Order: sequence, then C-alpha cells, then structure tokens
Amino acid sequence: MSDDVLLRVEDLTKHFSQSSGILDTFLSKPSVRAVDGVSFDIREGETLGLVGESGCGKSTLARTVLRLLDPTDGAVYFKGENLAELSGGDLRRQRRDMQMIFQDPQSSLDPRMKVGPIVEEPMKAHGLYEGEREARVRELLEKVGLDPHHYNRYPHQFSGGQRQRINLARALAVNPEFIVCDEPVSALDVSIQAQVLNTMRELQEEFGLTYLFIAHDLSVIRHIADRVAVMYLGNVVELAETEELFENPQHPYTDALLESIPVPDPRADGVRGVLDGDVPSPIDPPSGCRFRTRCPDLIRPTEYEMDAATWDAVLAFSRAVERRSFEAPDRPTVRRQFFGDGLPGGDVGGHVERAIDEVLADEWDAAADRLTEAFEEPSICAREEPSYTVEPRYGTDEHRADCHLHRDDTPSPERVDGEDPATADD
Amino acid sequence: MATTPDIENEPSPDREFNEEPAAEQPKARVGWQYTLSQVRRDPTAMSGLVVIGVATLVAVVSFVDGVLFAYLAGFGAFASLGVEQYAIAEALWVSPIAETGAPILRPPAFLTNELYPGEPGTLAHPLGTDHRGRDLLVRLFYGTRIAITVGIVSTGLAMVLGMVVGSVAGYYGGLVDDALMRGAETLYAIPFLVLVIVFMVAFGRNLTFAMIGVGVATIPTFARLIRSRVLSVREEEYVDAARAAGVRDRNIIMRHVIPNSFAPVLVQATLQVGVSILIVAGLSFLGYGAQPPTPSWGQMLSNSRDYMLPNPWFSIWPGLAILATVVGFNLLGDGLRDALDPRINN
Amino acid sequence: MSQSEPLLRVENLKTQFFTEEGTVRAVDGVSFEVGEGELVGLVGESGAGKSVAAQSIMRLVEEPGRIVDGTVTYKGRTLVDIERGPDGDLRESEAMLSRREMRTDIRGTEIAIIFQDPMESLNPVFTVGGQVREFIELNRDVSGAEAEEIAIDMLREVGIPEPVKRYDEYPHQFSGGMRQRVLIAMALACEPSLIIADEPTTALDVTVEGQILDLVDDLQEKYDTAFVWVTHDMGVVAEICDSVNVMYLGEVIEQADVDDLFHDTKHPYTRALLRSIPRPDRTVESLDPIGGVMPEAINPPSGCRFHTRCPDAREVCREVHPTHAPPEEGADAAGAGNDGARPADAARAAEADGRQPHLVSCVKYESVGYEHSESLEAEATGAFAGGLAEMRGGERDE
Repeated sequence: MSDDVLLRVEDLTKHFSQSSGILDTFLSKPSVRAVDGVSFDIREGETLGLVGESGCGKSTLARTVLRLLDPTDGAVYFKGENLAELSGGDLRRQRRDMQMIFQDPQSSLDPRMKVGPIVEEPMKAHGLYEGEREARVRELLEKVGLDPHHYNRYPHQFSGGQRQRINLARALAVNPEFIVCDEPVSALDVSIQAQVLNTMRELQEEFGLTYLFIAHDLSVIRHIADRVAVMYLGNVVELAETEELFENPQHPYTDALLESIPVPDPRADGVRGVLDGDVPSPIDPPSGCRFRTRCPDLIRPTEYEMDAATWDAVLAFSRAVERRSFEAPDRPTVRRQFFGDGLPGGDVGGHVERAIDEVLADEWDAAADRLTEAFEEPSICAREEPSYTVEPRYGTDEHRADCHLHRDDTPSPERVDGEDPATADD
Repeated sequence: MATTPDIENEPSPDREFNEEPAAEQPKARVGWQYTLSQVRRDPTAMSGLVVIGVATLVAVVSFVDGVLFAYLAGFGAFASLGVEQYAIAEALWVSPIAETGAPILRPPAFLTNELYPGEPGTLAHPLGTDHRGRDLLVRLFYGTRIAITVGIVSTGLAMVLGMVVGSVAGYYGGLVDDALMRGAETLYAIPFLVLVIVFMVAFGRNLTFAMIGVGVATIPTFARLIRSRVLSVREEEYVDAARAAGVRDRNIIMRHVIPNSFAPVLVQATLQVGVSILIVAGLSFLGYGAQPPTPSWGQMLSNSRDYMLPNPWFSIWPGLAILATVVGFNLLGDGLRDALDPRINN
Repeated sequence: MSQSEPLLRVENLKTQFFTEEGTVRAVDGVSFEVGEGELVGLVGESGAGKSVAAQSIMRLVEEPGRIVDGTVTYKGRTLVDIERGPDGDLRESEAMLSRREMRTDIRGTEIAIIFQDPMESLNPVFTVGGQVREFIELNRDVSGAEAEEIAIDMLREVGIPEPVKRYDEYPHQFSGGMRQRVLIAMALACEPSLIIADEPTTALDVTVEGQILDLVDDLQEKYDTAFVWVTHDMGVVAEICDSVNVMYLGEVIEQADVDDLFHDTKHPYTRALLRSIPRPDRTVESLDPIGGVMPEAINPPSGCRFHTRCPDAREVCREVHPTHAPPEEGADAAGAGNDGARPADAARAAEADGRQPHLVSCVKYESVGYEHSESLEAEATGAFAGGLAEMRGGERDE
C-alpha cells in the first residue's frame, strides 16, 4: 500500500429531483439530498470501507463516484482527472480503470447471456485482448475460483456465491486499478461470505487493486477494510483507520452503531438498541450536525446554566415529547417520570413547565416545537456543521470525527459525561 | 433469506475442478433450444401449435393459389389458360365464390334426414352449401388465408410500431415519454371498434384498411407493455454493470435491454393474433372488412344470420373455425409464457 | 423441562417437496422441544430447512410440500401426527387436529407467527390499526370497539408512538422497524403461549434490529411467551436465545444451551460456521471459510450429510449416519476435544436442572471406529466454490 492518492472525492453532492411527468414540471418539489457534501481520499492499493444503514446514501455515493449517476455538485478526481466533468467517450474510456461489483448476484448478471460473453463484455467495449478473449475469460474464471469449463453456462446455473465470483471476473476483465464493491457479500450465506471475502483479498494482493467497499455489516467491514468511513444521512460522519474506528470511535453515531451489533458470543455484553426514533427524511435534513435529532450527546446550548444530569433529563423529556412516547395523565406523573425530585429552575424550568401544560392540554405539537426551539435549536449542534479531526489512539492516520464534542480540539478521547464542554468553549 | 428449497439457487457443486463437468451440470433455462424443448414438453402449447400449424398450412396453400396464380395470370401464356384467383379450388373441386345454383343451403352429408330433407351433401359438398349454393368447406378453406393474414399483419404492425414507441418512451423518459405515451393513451381512450370503423370510413372499406386499422388501434397495448418492461430492465443491475464496464448505450439496448424485454412481447403478440382475428371477423360481420364475394369467416357468419335456426350448420362451421384458431393462438401464448420465463419453477 | 411436559414437542418431523426434479427432503427428521417461556433458536444457512421446519409446526407448508412423517404436540394437543397405515403407507393419524381446529384453536390464538418481511406481511390497502383489530376480532371473542381498544394498547405496548393517531395510518407510512413492531403487536395481541419468528430482524438495519431485540426481551419478560426464533445470524442467536438447534441440510446436527453451543462447540459444522464469520468486536486476520456449498436436499450425501465439506471427515463419515445423542467421550473419541466431565452424565445433569442437554450428530462421538478410519480428502477443498482462496490459504498456513 502506498500513500499515493488514487481517487479523491471533494464535496460530492447528489440530489434527486422528485418531479416526474408533465404536471410535476410546473410544481417544484424539494429534492432528496441523498449525498450531501462528501469528501475523502482513497489511496492506491488500499480498501476503504464505507458503512452506514439503509438510506444513508452509500449506494448513491458509489454510483456517483463512478459517474453512473451525474453528481449535482463536487468533484471526483481519479488519477488527477475530474470524472465529474468528463463527457461521453472520455468517460467511457476512463471506465476501463474503474469497475464495479454489485450487491445482488441474481440481477447483476444478464440472465440471457452465458458466462463467457458476460465476462468478455468489458473487453469488447474497450476493444481489448482481441483474439485472446476466450482464453482470458477462462483464465479469469480460474483466478476467481470457478471452473474454466463453465464458460458456456448461464448465470442461473450457479449458486449465489459463484455468481458473485462471475461478477468479480467481469470486473477484472479489463485489468482495472479501482473496483467499487457495493455490498458484494450481503446477499450471501455466512460461510460463503468468508470464501468470497478471502478471494477478494487474494485478488487485491495479486493485482494491486484498490477497493471502495460498501457494506452495512460492520463485521465484514472490520475484516476487509484498511480505513473506514461511516455515513449517516448523506454525510460522512467519521473516517479513521479500521482498528482506530472500532476501538476508539469518536462520533456518537459510530458508537451507537457499534453497540447495536449482536456479537456472536453469549458471554459478551448484550445488545442495546441505543438509538431511538427513525432516521429523518433526506428531503429536509436537520441543520448543523445531521445526527443531532437522535444524538444522545447533544451539546447543551450555552445560554442555559445547568448540570449534566439536568440537561440529560431535559433532553430526554424533549425527545419523548417529540416522539410522544409516554402517557401524560397528570402533572406530577410527568414530572416524576422525567425530572425525579424537582424541576430545573430559571428559564429552563419555565420552558419545561409550559411544555408540560401543553402536553396535558393534548397540544403535543406545540410542546414539541417549544422544547425544540428552546433547547435543541440553540445548540451548536444545530447551528454549525461539524468538521473536526482528533488524535488517533491506534495507528497514525488522520481520524476525522465530525462531532462538535471535539470542537475545543482537545485530543482527549474521553466522553463529556459530567464535565461541561460548553464553558470551555467560551 | 429464503429457506424453501430453491433448486435454482443451489446447484450441486462440481467436484472435479479440472475435469470436464459431466452429468451433474444443471440444465440451462434460457435460449431458443430450451424454449423449444419446453414448448415440446407442454401439451397445452403443443395442441395450440398443432391447430396453428394446420391453419397456417391451409392458409399457405390458398395463398399460393390466390397470389401466385393471380400473378401468373398476368403473363400471356397463363392468361390464355384463364387461371384465376381460385384456380386450384376450381380445378380440383368447386369455386368458393361462384354460385352453383339450386338447391341452396344443402345440409352436410351426415345431417341429412327428415329434419333436413333435400339432396344430401355429397363428396363435392361434405359440409353442405350456403344460401347461394356455394360449398362451405371450400369457403372456410379460403377464409383461413384471410384470418391468418389479418392476424399476423395487424399484430406485426402493432408490435413493430409499439416497440418503437414503447422503447423510445421508456429509454429516454421525460418529455419524450410523456408525449408518446399520452398519445398512445389517447388512442386507448377511444372504443376500439369505433376507432377502427372511423379509420376505415376515412381511408376505405376494405380488408387492407381493416388490418391497418386494427394494427394501429393495438399499438398502445404493445407500447405500454414494452415501455414497462424497458423501464424495469433498465433498473436491473446488469444494465448498470454494463454501463460501469464502459459499454456503449446502443450496445446496452441491443444486447441487454431488448432481449430481456422481448419475451412478454412475444407472448402478447401470440395472444394478440387471436384477438385480431376475432376483431376482423367482427368487422366483417358488421360489413366492414372483406367484401363479398371474398370468402371470410366473419362475413360467412354475417351471412348466416338469417338462416341461423333452420340451417345452423351455416353458422356453426365458420364459428368453429374462428374458435379453433383463436384458442390455438391462446394455447400457444400460454405455453410460451411459461417456456420463456427463466425464473419459473416447474 | 424434565419435570413437566414441554410446551411444544417436535419429534422426527419430516417435510418434503415433491418437484419435477425429485423429492426435496427439506426437513428430514427434526426433533426439538420448547419449554414454557423459553426462547429456542433454529439456526442454519439458507437451504438448511429451518423456515420449512417452523412452518411445518403451524402446518403452513404449501404445495408441493407435504409433512410426511413425525409428531408435533403442543400443550397436549396433536398438531401433526403421521402414522404408518396397515398397508405400510404414511398417513395422518386420527389424533391430529382438523384443519378447522388448527385455524380456530391454534393459529393466532395459541401460536403466532412473525415473518421476515414486515412490508409483505401487512396489506398496503388497509390501515395498520384496522388490520390489527381484524386479527384480534378474528381470534378473540370481543366486540369491534373492544378489539380497537386492545389494538391500540398493543401498539403502545410495542413502542409505537402516538398509537391512537397512527392506528389510522397505512403501512407505507411506517418505517421498517415500526412495521415489524406492528407485526409483533399483532402476534402478541391474542396472548399466545408461543411465537414463531421467522428471521424477523433480517430485513432491518442494525440499530433497528437492536431496538427490536430489546423489545422482544422486555415483552418476553412481561408475558412469558415462548419463542421459536429462526435465523441465520449467530450474533442474534447469542444475543437472545436460551437454547439453540443448529440445522444442516434438513437435520438438526447440534442442540445445546446457548452458552454450550458457543463455548463448548461439539459439531465440526457449528465450529466451522463460528470460525467463518467476521467479528464486530475483534480483528480477525484471516477467515476460515467452509469449503464448497451446501449440497441439494434432493439427493443428500450418504452417511453424515456434512462429510463433503467437513474438515474432520474420515472414511467412516461417508458410511455411517450419525445418531443424535449426547457426545460420548469414549476411547473412540480421543481426538475430539477434552472436557473432563463425562458428557453423557453432563447431559443428564443438564436435563435435571431444566437446561437443554447437549446433543450432537457426529460420528466422532460414537463408537463406530472413527479414529481408525482413514481421513477423507475433504472433497470441498478441491471444489471450485471455495477453490482459489482455500488452496492458497492452505499454502500460506504451511
């Protein structure tokens, strides 16, 4: 692995318009912001893992990087050339060096074509290996662990794992440098997953390939990636070396993600569904940090003075009102449920008190608006987009963690439980 | 992950890595040969094929008679022989159009009894004769030609134009799609028969325009079918894969999009042939379509109206011919549908 | 479990699919028990027959599938009982509940089932509340208004915010996790004693999966419902199951308490499976995949069905079909792990204190001459399915 950057993604943005049909052209609908200002580098010979939950925009990102989708904004430099600006023929030629492997081994191979022509297709498209294509296909099939005699079979005559190997062979056909792998093993059984992952590693070593490896399964990412980027709602929220990211996560979302995975060991700590609520809509994503509406570590707005425990209680109450996740029979019950011994004083108490009134009057929306406006909107998390790096604990590579908890730029990886980071800032 | 035993997903592994894979190779489930073998194994499709085969054979023979001899008649030597459109029939048997005099409406041979007295059907008229004394069998025979031609020409026309409209609309999307498909839907909104009849009134009341009219009116059916298929095939990952590999757009359309969109079109076309035959028969029945004395099934039915009760055979034979042909095409269509679907599980 | 009759007992269950290509022996002699309030896992790869086994319990197997043998008893009632008729053919016995009784007495009311895809399990054209209510009306003897009340209570119970408002919403207005909660609410609505969950979290994101597993934990504590949890995910198994049945090619090959299964693994398949999965909690340098793919259930391998892929396979494995029994630590099993305690005794002890005895189907633990048998070149190492990686992996190890 060298330090030369093979692919640089700068501020890449992809918005989907929601209009379709004649009528919609007259009514403008807000667009879906699937990928919103993503930047990262991929170095020659490395595997960059990209992980996130469904709908976070990771597949869109992959397709935009390869220009299968046209970016709304931003640049993708591949060996110095901006793919976002290439057109027709130039782009097509550039694709020789960058290939893609798809998630669904069932639908990524044309059911009416035989394996041979499928693997030959990229060579034909680029006019390469004229006259020796069939021999090359057989060689490639053997390389990815298939029987070369299967040249004349149809895709459906193979199992899922084998079909994914055909995908691999096709991607390798024109000897590319860079392969985008979009969830290549998530449709496979675990024991088959391991086989394919191993083969992918072997091939990477043999051909010096660079992978952008997309997955939702953190275990797979941990196994295959050198560095990992975590995506949430169209943004990369954290990017670090694999060991560093898994052992020293610095973004609350990464934390939550890691805590949610069931570990195949009954003696391990139990899984906790630490995140409440659903991912917000990418049509109108939250301002500032996109994770703030679910973040357990939302930073207290500086205009209120209160201790950490009170802030936690206020935040919990605010979230509960937004999601209407409790019953409100009378004032004491609500108070006791969220604030134990007593309501906070001052402005804080005032807002809470009025919100409880509204809740009791069954005006939940008003209460939720009041609390959000009073406590969440003024937070730095809602006002500024975070962009920070922290000192890595493992390895030496840059560790990006876009969370305002790191805004005073202290390299300390400690969580801010108890202490008050807001005052340190002022 | 589905756990129902999915044969397609779990072919047994080949054990001999470096040897020719032998017996355990799973069967291929696509391609012409496979389709044909499936059709051959399917009694439904086969019976359809037999009916269509017979009808086509009859049509071809009468076509040769009609067209070839009429063409030859243009040449001097043949012209002097007086060869005409129904040369074979007239030479071997009886003319389907010339009236043969009394007794009209002679019953078929096997029906002759007290109910249908009169001269029994003879070898010359095994199915009896019509109200003008013309032999029904020979007329049916020549009617086949019209039925099959009408079905294939109008469906072919609709399929080709529909494919152009549908694939252009589906592939380019946006305004092109809107314009083309709204146009097609406008055609769809007009009652079918009204559309065809208006078309024929405008251009001419004959069989050619009946075929063209039916074809044009059927375009939306094919356009919509192909468009929806193109839309879904375009979203398949193998199309993305081809694009990512750097394959040109037109090669993607030719190699991936069209072959994968074609199967349902073929099935639809087979079914549509039957429908078109039925519609043109209906048109002839209404007086639009083949004009007398040309023998066509619809027109024969139309003529039989006044004799329905006393002389049912007059309407039964053309009715049966239409039924058999339409059912034949439907059976074949059903069979093809199964044979062409690579994902179907026996 | 030993003291009282278990809630559900499955004995020698066999379900086959009669296809043109042959008889698929999807479930081939499966036996297990579920105690009251117990969460039993049914784990395996796709094609192992775990879903078919779960559906067979409810008699939901559809054509061309048929239950051909075995007995399923639930609370003393016979859900399935196939007996040998006088002329030697297998037929449904008299004791078996009728279809009508299955429908009115068992499905929904006593045993509920949750499917994998929360979208497909709800009808998109009816409101969520309406569907839950209809289900309750059907299975419980209550009026429409009461059913609505119960439905709203249940929706609240499974953590759906604003249940009164969301009662009138349609399935597409719910996220995947919320839809799965609705299905759980539906399953719980009639307070069944047993819920069969068929990969209920497979389609969900990991944070949502965490929420659902939490919810199941809480609900199980509250209602003491027993679960049969079908999954392919060893992580989920470790997380929530009390005892586990590992299935391979239609058979249960290992059956143990969850802790024993992971920490005292007996069957080579289970061991290989555990070794082949990447871990979220630690870095694994190289994965150890199981070679080859699972053979077809039409014509399963002779002897032990895993022998074609087993790293420990010997000649005898090809001939002898292993019995499903506590692993005997005899002279014959010298090569197979050492635990000190006599497993047969341990199994009896486990049974005595209500734990799942450890049962395993592997000839290693039988006195059939395993240790003197010749080692089989595991056929799969030569098969292309894992070929390249394994061959090289092997070279590197040496």
